[in-house]
Amino acid sequence: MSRPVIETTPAPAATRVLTYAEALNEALREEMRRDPRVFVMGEDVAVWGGGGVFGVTRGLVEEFGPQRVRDTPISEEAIAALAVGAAVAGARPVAEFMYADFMGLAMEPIVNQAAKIRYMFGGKASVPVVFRAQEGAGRGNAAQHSQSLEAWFCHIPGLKVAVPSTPADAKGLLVSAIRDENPVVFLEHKILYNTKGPVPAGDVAIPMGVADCKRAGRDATFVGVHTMVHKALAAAEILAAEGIDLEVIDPRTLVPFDLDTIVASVRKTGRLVVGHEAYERCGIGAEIIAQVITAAFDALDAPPVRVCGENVPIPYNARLEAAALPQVEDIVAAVHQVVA
Amino acid sequence: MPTEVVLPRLGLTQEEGTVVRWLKAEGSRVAKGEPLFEVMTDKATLEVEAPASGVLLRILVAEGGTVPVATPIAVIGEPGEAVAAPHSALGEPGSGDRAQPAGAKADRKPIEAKSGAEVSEEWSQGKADRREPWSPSQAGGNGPGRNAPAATPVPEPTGRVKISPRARALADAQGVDVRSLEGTGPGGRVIERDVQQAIAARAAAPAGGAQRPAAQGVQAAGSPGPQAAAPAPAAAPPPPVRQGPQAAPGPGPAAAPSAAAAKMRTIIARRMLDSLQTTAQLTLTTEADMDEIERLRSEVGPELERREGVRVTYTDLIVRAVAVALREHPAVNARWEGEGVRRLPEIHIGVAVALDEGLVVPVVRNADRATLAQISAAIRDLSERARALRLRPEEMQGGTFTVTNLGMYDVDAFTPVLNPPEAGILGVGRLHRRPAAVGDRVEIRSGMVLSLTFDHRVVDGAPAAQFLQRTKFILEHPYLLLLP
Amino acid sequence: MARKLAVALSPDQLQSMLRTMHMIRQFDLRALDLYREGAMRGSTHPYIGMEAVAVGACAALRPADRITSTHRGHGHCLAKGGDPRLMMAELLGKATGYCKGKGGSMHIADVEAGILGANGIVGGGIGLATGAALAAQLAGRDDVTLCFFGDGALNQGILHESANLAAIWKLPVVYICENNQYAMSARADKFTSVPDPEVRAKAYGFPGVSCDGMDVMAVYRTVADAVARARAGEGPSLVVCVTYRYFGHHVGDPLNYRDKAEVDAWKTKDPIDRFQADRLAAAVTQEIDAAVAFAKASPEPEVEALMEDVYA
Repeated sequence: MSRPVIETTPAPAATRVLTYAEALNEALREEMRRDPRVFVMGEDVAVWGGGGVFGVTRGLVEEFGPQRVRDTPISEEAIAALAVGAAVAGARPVAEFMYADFMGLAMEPIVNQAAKIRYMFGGKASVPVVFRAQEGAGRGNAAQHSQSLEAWFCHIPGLKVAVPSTPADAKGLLVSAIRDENPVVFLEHKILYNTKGPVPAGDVAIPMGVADCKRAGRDATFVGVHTMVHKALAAAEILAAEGIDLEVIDPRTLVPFDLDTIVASVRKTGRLVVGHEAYERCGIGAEIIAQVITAAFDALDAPPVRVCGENVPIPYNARLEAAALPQVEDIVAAVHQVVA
Repeated sequence: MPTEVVLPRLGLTQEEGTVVRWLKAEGSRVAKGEPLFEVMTDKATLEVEAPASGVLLRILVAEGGTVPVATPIAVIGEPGEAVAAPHSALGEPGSGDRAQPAGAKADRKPIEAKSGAEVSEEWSQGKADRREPWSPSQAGGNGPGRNAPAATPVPEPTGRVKISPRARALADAQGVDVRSLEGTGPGGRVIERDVQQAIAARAAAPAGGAQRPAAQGVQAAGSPGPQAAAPAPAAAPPPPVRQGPQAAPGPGPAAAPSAAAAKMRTIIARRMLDSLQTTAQLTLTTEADMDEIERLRSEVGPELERREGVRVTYTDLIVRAVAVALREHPAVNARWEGEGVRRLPEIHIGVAVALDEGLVVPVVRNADRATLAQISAAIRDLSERARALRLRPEEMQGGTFTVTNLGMYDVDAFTPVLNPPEAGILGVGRLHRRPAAVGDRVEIRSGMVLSLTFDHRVVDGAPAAQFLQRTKFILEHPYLLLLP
Repeated sequence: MARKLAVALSPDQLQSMLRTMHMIRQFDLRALDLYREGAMRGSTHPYIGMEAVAVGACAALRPADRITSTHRGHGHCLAKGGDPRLMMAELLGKATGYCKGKGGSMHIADVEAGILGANGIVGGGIGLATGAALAAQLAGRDDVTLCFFGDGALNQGILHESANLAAIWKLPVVYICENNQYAMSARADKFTSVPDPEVRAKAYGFPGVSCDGMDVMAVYRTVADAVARARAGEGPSLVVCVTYRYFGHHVGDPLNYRDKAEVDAWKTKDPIDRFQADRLAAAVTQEIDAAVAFAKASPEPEVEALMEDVYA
């Protein structure tokens, strides 16, 4: 897939063009160099192909050794639980789940342990753990390897949820996630791993809870995550030819959520379209719309619209898969609907 | 052939009535001309006679139900006759039947009965623009593609304006009557651009010399009324303006007033224009003899001052008089609400206070239930804080009637402008000694002109005059002010 | 093997262990009173009858070692040095409690004291303990983590995953199964595939032993051995302590799944009585031993004394 290169933050001294996977790798490498407590653990993160099914941990074991870059057996619950225990005991684990779908096996330690410990213990313990996983469809991985499950984690108080859409955001947010004293569910998107973009060199953390306007526009606000940001930018070009100026906002983290930026945009445009690949029903889009309506009802000139994945398991067949996912033309249609 | 009993029109301006009581039960026999039910209008409760003889086959509007004039409320016929009209939900408290859209009141026509089938179709159609019902078991899948346009929107029931919240906010801020707008949004929804167009049109129209209020491009606070002079909620940024050269707020006039004054001016301009454009207001005047009240003030005033620490002003006395009169004339303590008059359960009297920055109207709550001393203390506190610009917004909201006094400027009489949505405002002229006929003699007595502006949509001339007359009477018999 | 076996405990240590066992019993008896009088919310799970396990096991630890606990956690917390005042305040949901009143009975933790928390999830501490052991290993320390869990947790998947990981990474963790015979109403002998769950350790290639969980010294010796092994970098162990809870699962347990005769039989093995009796017997034995030693060491009388003391 080709898509435009997106400028996110003002480029500091050295900015290179990296892929999303390379940017994540750089974040891990730099944080492991900076802090000896940081270690990586997961299935096939060390040996396979030199590091990770998607190359995110490539070369790390050579630099940091098998103690800090640990291949695990296929034991998702234990990966999560050990990471939580290690974090409480002073380490800073980055636990990888090969597919977000597999996190279903690890929900107990993530939801009942990681998310709760600080609170249950009266604030006297920290759980600085990162649960990395990749989600999303588009590669024919079918129903058990293609889901976008961010809403599960957004529902749980105590977890933070990051969803970077660009290489620069991927690096900056992963750095922040590793330094965060709280459990962070860090969800990457498999289709984005090979996308390229400028990434600042060196220590550039992007704070959690700060949305990024990927394209300024006057007529309607689009808020979306992962691939939907890119699809919205493509839709914006089509719409621009019709004289409709779409603003595209990437919240970058869903918890914490930068409602202020989105409300400010909606106050400007009066119209809101929200998009995600995840199933529409009870997706994060519903939450975003609810928050915007509550905060800025009188700013809305049209009912907000969602452009989301169909409420159906992701099919294998390419044509069916495409039909199950929100596409550029769906965003265009949704924007037409709100600016009608 | 069954006979429909309709809600009768019992007055010139009556548009609806409330069935107070049925004097016959369903199934009982009635004779033409026999009292059948009681109906309450804004003026009175009256017995209404049966229009035909027969059996009261069905009561369509239960006791307590309020319906427009000419609405069928019962059917009289012979036993066993089919009744065409269904049980109506109108006025049946607690009825879950939604067959009659609430807005049907605005039709002023007999309501056409809907069959159950039509009704359910309408409701299911209302749901049709959701892509998918909330159901895990969708045997039929999701239906056609995601790009299918939303189902044709169900027309809003008459009387309710289909309008976006953004457009509503702009219309409120700019004093645009949303019912006059034609919606160009999806399904005929009024959207922001429709309001903007109306504002532009209004600005362009030769409005009889009326200054165009700070319409487009000028920030107007969100809350209505002069009370909006209080700080607007921080969360409400200026309404964005998309078009027009005036879009960017320019620098102020040469002799720039303070920001507070400029803002207050903007609000007053909008509110006053709105008042004159959207209400049917006119003014009645009368003159009250003030000798008695002067005596009361000179005798009771020092005593109150000694005991309660308040110095009673004429404004205090007039506010108390108005409150007492309003309690006896609730038709004036009311407002127009789109489809009808709403009488207000409480009496809150605004008192106009002139500041350098402009006019504000703090409100004395439940003035009819306050003693003279309490009113006096409240007015003094409110006006002191008004002059210090220290009033809270809620202290300038919710008034049901206003008193404004220009007597100190030697004004005899004037036509006050209503403070919407209030339906009445009393202008107080100067208190002065003048020759007056007392019986057959001429005496020098104190007098004061009262100017009542009222909204003719809400109340007619005669009841308004009665209210004014009563106010005058109370002022002339001021011991009434001391009653609870 | 080069490891040192359990070091003999000093009389002061033994006295302190006895005291802690009493402390646990009285703490939980008082907690039951408080619960019944309505001062506590939720549920409370008394450790009464099982005191020997927590006290014997924690006696094998150093202050920097860690434990993870269970829903029946008051005993573990006190045995590892928890402050009864902060625990009691937490039971009553007070701001001064260990968790500022946000955790309650099932979430008492004192991370600085190495108590990584009671846990409301059966088996919830197993992965955490294993992870804490991983952190110690990564940090290059020889700290050990004791992981308490009940017989119910034997059949949770996390135990399998964690045991395998601990084995392949030789993590310094000791899994201590408190087999108190019942997971709520589920009898261990009916709901677990083997009558002697310690054999499951074989499947992971680490030692599995059982001991009398009503005998604090037996628990101490067995756990101390496993701790020494873990500290030496030789990896995890499983210790099954056979014990019994005198009370129901929590207040309100119908207890229709066991009979009173069974409870009474177990009570005859009461760990506190037994430890006290053993201590008393040991003290008497010590005195007799001393007497014997005195006797043996004493001189024979001189022949000159033969005629002495016939008359005053």
